[in-house]
Amino acid sequence: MKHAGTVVLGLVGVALVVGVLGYRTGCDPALHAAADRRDVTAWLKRDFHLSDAQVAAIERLHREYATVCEGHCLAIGAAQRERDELRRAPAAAAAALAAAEQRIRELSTECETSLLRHLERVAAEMPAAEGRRYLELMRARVATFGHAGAPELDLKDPHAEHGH
Amino acid sequence: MKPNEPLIQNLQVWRVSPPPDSRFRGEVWRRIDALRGAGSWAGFVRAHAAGLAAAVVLTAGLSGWIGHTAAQVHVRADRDTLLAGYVASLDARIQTGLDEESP
Repeated sequence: MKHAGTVVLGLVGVALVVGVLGYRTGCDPALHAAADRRDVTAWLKRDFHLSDAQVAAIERLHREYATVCEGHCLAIGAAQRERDELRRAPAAAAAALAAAEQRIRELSTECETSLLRHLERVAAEMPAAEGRRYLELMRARVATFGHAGAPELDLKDPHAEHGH
Repeated sequence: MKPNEPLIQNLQVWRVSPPPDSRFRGEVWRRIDALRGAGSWAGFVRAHAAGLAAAVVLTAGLSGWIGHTAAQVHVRADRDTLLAGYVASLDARIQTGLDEESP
């Protein structure tokens, strides 16, 4: 047992060195840097193996879609305000409130349809297999709407914090 | 003392005459050296080579796996952050807080 301490120290050293090496081989510094900068373009380029031309085409599509998205934001925001005013009114008609809620649902569906169409256009700019993977990932994400929020994003006020 | 008298007589005449062994001295020194070596680090390693090797391999394998798994968790978290931000930048429903209103 005279050497037990040395053996334990040696094993701890081995664990530390190999653990760090395992971590370094498994991590992705470029992806981490992109996540720190919230640089989705770098992430798309890296994860979906895009050429510079494909990135430029996708950025152009996103710029075009920003106007469409802003239109949806404004329409949904207006419908929400209308509904909130009806909720605050002392004698709000249930039918009017239901109609306002229905209007929001319709706008939400329109927004989703429009977003999915845009994502398909983006996928079409990618290499075929990557485009399919991208679309699968995005559709799954869009489908989780209402079940998972976007972390670290303050999106309460669509006009003050609009992402475009 | 009487009952033991034959035994005592036998012991008195008993002589040990081992056959001469030329390796005897060397063998004694080899055993002394082995006992000395068991206390040293090199001797310890030689004596427990298999166990030590197994412990090193096991420790390295386990810690490497833990390190790699931790990195994969980190990568997934980074990717999820980017994906969430990307979808949020395109989805007016998230930007208007509709996702928080949904049941």
